Amino acid sequence: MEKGLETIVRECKAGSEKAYKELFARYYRLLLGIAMRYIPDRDEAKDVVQDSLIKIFKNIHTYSEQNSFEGWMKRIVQNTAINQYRRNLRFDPDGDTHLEKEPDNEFETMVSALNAKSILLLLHKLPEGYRTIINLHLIDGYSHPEIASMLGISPGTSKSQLFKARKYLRELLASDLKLFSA
Amino acid sequence: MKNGRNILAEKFSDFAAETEASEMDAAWEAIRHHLPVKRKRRVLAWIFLAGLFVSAWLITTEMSQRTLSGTGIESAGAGNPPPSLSEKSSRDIAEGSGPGQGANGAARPVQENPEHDEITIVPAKVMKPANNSFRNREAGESTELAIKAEVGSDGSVNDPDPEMTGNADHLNPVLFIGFRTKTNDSVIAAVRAIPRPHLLRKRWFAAATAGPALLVTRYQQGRVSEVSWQVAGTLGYELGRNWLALVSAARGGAAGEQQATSQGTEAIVKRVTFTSVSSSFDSLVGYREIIHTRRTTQLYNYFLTAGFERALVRRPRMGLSAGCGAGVQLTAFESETTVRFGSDTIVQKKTQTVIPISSVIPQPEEPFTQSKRIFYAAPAVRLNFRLGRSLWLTSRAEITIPLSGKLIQDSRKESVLNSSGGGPQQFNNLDQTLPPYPMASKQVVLSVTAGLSLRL
Repeated sequence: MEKGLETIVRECKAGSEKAYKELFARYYRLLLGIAMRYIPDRDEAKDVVQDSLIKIFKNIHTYSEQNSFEGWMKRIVQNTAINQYRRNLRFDPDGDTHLEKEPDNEFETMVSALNAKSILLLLHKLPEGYRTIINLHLIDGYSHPEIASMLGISPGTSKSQLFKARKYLRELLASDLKLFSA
Repeated sequence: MKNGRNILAEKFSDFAAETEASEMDAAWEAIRHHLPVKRKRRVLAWIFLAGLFVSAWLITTEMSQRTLSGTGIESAGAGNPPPSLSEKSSRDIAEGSGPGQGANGAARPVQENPEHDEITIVPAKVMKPANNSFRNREAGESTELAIKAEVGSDGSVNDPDPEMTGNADHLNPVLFIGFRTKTNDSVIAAVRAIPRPHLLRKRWFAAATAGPALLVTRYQQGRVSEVSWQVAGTLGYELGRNWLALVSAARGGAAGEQQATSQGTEAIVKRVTFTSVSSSFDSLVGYREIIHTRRTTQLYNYFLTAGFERALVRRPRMGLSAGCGAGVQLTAFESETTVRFGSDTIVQKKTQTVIPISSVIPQPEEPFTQSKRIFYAAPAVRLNFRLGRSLWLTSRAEITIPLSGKLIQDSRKESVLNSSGGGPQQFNNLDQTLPPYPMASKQVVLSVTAGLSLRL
């Protein structure tokens, strides 16, 4: 019978190697999937997951059961990935800030036709700044003030970058679809 | 209708990357050594202590055997029985030092040195070790050093694939037995404790090893067994996925013990001094028999090696890597010699500090100074197999090529013949009663080391 997550976490806190391995086996792929959204290079993404898991295992005693364990782990991976690239992140100057108020139906239609793997390939084609914003806001659900504090930018910049990122992604989608239909 | 945010979040809500089992294994191996497992340190300490105990036991056994043989010599009073043919190397036989010949059985003639008008004891034969055991020993140590250097390559916390070289030495105590081909008869049995490499920066890491080793070397006069303590530090930089640059510094503290029993005749010279006329003369009073000579040496080897290593084959159960290092080795020793003449015992202690690189020329007044500095290059190949979950068979072949070096032993014979100075002549330097500590020659040595490595 598969052990419950709570039991595994408790055993990890007690320093059981077996429990660590179980946790690793259960979540490695998931965490690698998250890292790969942020980092196109698979080897580098694996590095990030490795660093993250070490952090997770070393700090597992600080995890409080009231929160979601999976969420806690995901956040560590996201932070590690962002920290790795924070220095290199470049954002376009704000220019005209177009805040997107209306849902972009065309974008949604195009996205909903693709599976996660295909979207991941598109994400990898985005510039790093755009990719990070899309990941943080559209996929991981962070608000603009949260993203602003994570990346050290203003909420306004976060919003405008998101707008541009979506536009860029839409163009990519459109050109890919055109290529496909041709 | 859902907005883009919800759609994307949904698409990736359960998204997991596709990974192969071997990829997972490799990732786990990289991570597991960083786990805060509580019992790990305790087990490591126990293994380390067990290693110490085994080494101590082996030494005690070796020493007791040697004491037995020493007792025989003393009671016979006629010299060390020559080694049996089986004990002698083919080289000895080729040189004609058969039973009854050589230093062990022959008394040392007393010659007059016309230049100094005094009596000088000349060894019957400047003994030559059956092989360059010292050289080999050091070659062995450099092999060990190289192995230690590899700790970095395998234990690199930054290495995304710890199976890169298929080695298991990293982070673990290593038990290995070394063999030497042709130029070496020495056998090393060692227990190594290798703590976890420390990640300094993203690609930089440091590693260390420490542990005792028992070395048994056979040479013309018998066996020499030594216990050595070695500590080593490695600084590594990961150049790429398969490449590592390594710099290692090691201090090999060998608490070596060498016993050689030589029988001979000492010339007792008495000096009579007439202070009033500022003149003196020496007179030969007689001879007395040396029963037993013993020398204890403590060796210090300092190595500094820089090199590269590249993984050639990486498989979960097998790894092959090749590398090349170059470095410098400095040797210094401390020795104490005891000579017994019946009930008399004379002890002489000599301390030699490490030789600076610029000054390796022996001092005439210290004819037995044995120190050296060697620059060497050492290409090596490493092949490892995983035998079980935590057990690895590790092997390494290395060729040590001396590039340049100063060997001080060469001056010994001359120094003995020309030893000058007045005063009672009896054993101004007690080392004269012993053969020189075997020193290196410029010889290429092939070393093969194999061992079992157990991961904790």
